[in-house]
Amino acid sequence: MIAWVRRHMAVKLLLLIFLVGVVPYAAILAYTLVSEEKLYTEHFYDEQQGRMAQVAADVGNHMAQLYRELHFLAGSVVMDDLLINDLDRRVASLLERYKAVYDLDFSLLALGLDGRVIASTEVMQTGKPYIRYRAFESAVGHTSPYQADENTLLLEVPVRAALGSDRIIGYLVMEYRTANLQRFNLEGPSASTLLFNPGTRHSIGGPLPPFTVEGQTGTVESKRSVWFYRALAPQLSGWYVGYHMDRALQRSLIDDLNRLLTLLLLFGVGMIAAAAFWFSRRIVAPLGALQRQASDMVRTGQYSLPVASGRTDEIGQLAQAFNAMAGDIRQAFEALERENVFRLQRLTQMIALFHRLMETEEESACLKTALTELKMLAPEYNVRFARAGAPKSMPTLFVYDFEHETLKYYGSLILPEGLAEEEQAFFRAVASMIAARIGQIRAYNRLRRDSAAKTAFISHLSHDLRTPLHAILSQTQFLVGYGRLEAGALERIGGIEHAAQQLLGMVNDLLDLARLDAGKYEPELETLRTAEIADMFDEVGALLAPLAEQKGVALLLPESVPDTTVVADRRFLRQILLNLLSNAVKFTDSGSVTCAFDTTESVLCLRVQDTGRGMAAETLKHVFEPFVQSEKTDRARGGSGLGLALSRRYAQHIGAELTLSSDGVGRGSTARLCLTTL
Amino acid sequence: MMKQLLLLLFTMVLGAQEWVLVIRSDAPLKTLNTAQIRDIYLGKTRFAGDLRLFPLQLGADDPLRQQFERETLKLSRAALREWWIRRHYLGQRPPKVVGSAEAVLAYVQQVEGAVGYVPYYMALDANVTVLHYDAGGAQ
Repeated sequence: MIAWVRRHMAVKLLLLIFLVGVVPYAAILAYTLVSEEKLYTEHFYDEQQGRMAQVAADVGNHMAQLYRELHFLAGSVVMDDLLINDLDRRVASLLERYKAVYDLDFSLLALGLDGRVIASTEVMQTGKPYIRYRAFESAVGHTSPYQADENTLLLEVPVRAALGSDRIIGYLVMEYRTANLQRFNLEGPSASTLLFNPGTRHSIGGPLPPFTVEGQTGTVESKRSVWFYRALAPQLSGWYVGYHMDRALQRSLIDDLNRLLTLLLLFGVGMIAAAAFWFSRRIVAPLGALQRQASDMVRTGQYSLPVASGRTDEIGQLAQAFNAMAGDIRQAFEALERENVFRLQRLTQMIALFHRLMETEEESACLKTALTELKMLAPEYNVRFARAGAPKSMPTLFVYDFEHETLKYYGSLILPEGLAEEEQAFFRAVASMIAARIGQIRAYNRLRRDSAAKTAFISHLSHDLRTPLHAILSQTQFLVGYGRLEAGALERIGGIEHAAQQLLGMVNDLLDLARLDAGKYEPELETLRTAEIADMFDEVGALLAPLAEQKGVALLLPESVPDTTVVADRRFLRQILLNLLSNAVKFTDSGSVTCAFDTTESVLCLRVQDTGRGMAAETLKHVFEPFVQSEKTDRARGGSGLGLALSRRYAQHIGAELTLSSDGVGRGSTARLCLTTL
Repeated sequence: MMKQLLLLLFTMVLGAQEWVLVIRSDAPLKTLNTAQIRDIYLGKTRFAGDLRLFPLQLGADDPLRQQFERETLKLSRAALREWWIRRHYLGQRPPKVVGSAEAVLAYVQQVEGAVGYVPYYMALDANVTVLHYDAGGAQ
């Protein structure tokens, strides 16, 4: 998940914007959720207390206003008429006028010093003793209303005489109905106050609250409701303003606030999410497109399609830069491809040239072909060949000289000056190719010449040697058969005949070898069956049995030949068998020569194992070369040293494989001839 | 009673009536001439010996007050207003206005130093000292 976020810039941006936008909201919500009750309750309590303080202040102001009015009234010059018992009813009419101004339920009375009502808004009382005189007496001297009874407050100010000394001539009394206070109660669903006097158990604006007050202000909380109260003293001692609220209502207010906050949060989160999504899309989408196109480009290798952003900001510039880069890459690729094609062409041309050169069989033809080809390849260079006098910088041809075994200067290719190094290298390669081919042609011609000379030499030599040898043999045989010779002479003649026989054998072998090498001795391949192979063994066994008997070596031929069919030359196979077995008998002084077949599915292998002298590993390497015998002493045993070399050549000509192995000197040796069966 | 009615009738015929200036009977003052009355009512004289005097006058529309101002104070209403405006800045006030002649008598009886003019016939039975008698329509 984190790796995914890291890989996508849009997601990163989205997360960032989202976090920046949402975290403060979430913090506010969390804060309110955690501390809402405390916060809100405190705030709420403060608010209610503030409201009640406002009510108390209003009531206080009202009372102060009333007192001011009363003092003003008491200061009126008309009040002097109290001295004369309001003879002209001027005081009464003043009080009535005053009362009429106010929309309040109250009575105004002017009392004489004797406690009689001199003037009043209540006509019935005028001239009579004041009925609330006891309460009035208690109220005198107070600057705040006095609770006369549960419904009545007394406000009293003294009236001083304007005439004469500043003496009190009576009292102005306001009987204030407490019901008037109702106007100060706050009305409303969330705040509805009431005024109450716990002393008189009287309340205005609602039933008396069910608790006892303590102190000036307070909060009484019960399970289902909360009460707030505040004293109206000093303006209205004994009275309190109270406020009752259902806890459910309070809770509902908090819930409303929470709901509002949650809605705000959701709305804000939604808006921020939308904005973040939009912004990130707007910023990152072109980047994403760019990135996709770039990946496509790299994946498919198609650098030719430009990235289209259609913008002029940083992203657009990025796209342009990217296009420029892609263009460069495309050009580089194309250049590389052209170069590649060019190089491939050069290579092909070189191979073709080489091929043509290889087909030529003469030096002049080779050189001519090379020059023709080069002219076709690069007509603008006008390549020429010079035997001498070419500058050193030109490609030179050195050809191997077999007689001196050194490289000899042959000539140079003449090229225009100032060719590129690669071109020069190309022509140098061509030059060395030509030189190599010329050397090859020379070597081939020389080899062919030598081989033909050698073969002719050996043929002539053998033929020329055989003729006198036959003469010697026939003469000696005549002497042995018909000459009357002494025993000593006969023995010497026998020696001559033996040596001549050996020489003839050797010459015959040489002749065969030369013929084989010259390819003039072709095998006559035929199908040989088991019976024919067995006959061959019998024949060879009969030839070698006397020699083996003479040397006391047991010659163990295979009792039966595996049932198989091979394709071979009868003479060759017979000669190989004879050579192998005679060698084995020849180089074994005691013990046995064992001949056996090892047959696998498709191969018929004949193994000739002797207990003879064997040979060292070093000797084994050269044993199939002509005229090699294991040691010089072996000369005494007869043979030319050509037997194995001839056998190897015979085997090669009939498609067989001949190998020789030995465990070491004195440990015998094993020859193995393997023929492919049909 | 007949005499009072006749007097009233007489007064109404003449357009002027008899009046007296009265003070409480225990006052040390016994008599005042017209000039003294004028000084008292224009605020020039405020004490008679140690006694602070409080002149009383009737309402503005009262015929007796008009007669008193015309004949005794010898000043028009406008002149009087101008006078009292000027005296106002010296801290003096015009004589206290009382609702009726009966009230004048009541004040005189209640307040020490209060002096007031009332119709002559009203002073006859009252327990007050007459400081001055004016037959009305004089001069």
